[in-house]
Amino acid sequence: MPRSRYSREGREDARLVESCRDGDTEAFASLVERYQDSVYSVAVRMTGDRDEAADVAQEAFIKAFESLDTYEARRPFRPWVLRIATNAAIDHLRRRKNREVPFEMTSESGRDPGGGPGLVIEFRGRESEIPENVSIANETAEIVHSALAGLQDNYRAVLVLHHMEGMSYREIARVLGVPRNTAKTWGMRARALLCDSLEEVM
Amino acid sequence: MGAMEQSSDDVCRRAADAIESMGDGEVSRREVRFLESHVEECAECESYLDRMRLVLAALGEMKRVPAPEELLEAVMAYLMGAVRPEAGGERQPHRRRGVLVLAGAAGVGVAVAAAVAISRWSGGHRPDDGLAATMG
Repeated sequence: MPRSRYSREGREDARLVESCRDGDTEAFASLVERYQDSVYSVAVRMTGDRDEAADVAQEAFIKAFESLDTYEARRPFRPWVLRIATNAAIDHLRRRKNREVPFEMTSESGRDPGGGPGLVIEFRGRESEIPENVSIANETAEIVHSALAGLQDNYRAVLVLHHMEGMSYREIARVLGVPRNTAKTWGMRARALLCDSLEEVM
Repeated sequence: MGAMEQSSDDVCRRAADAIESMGDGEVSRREVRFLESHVEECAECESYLDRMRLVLAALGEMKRVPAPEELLEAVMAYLMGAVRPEAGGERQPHRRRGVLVLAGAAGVGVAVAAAVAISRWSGGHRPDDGLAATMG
């Protein structure tokens, strides 16, 4: 659940940030420990590659440290750092696309997600290393997760932040820098596209 | 297209909206009852509903991945690289240390300038030739 600025965790985050601003780098280490799983997981879901996700996560935390002066203590820390992480992941994906590195196709559906302009990044093939508590049919889950990896970045970001991180659309809107209704619309379109990916098997 | 077909499209459109609302957990009980009734008569909407349930189940099983242990080490190593340890062993952030260095340098500069001024005032120092030349 997101930590509000009034919760114990929110107050602790604000205290740690203040310590960081006073030069206490160990306080920043505590913040990294608190949020590294979230940051890394978002990076993994966005890039589809653990090694690249580690680079993205490291870059995100360094940017966060360098930007601590811009953090408003009255706001929750997690959406703030996830904004940095999500943008770092999207920037990374754009650089990767510009390098035109050939990707492995793991999805046999080969569906064009459509939905307008945007990056389409095929999954790089390490999905089997990403743990899922799969209670639904493996084939179905694999199709959905492959389709998720193939969504344009903004759609994928909304689903990852909403369904994995449990963020509200208001928080997601702040992370992505768009109106709340836009974030919500992207979520709905993204899920509709994932539903389309199952059409061939059902 | 006749009125009945249009009405059927409207009903399916309403069902689709309700199914999409499920994704956000915002479907009302009334909508749920409507859906349950409608999908008994509409195979297409039943299929969409089934697919959305599977999608939501798959998305719900998306779990966080533990960060590698090296991540914290790498971040802190980078930050420590930007923060050089003091001679006494206590580390300070680079920007704060930079202010201290500037303050120290300013103090030394003042001391040197004062020493030069005192030396010249005491009369043992001649202006260099260049200046003397300009004074005619």
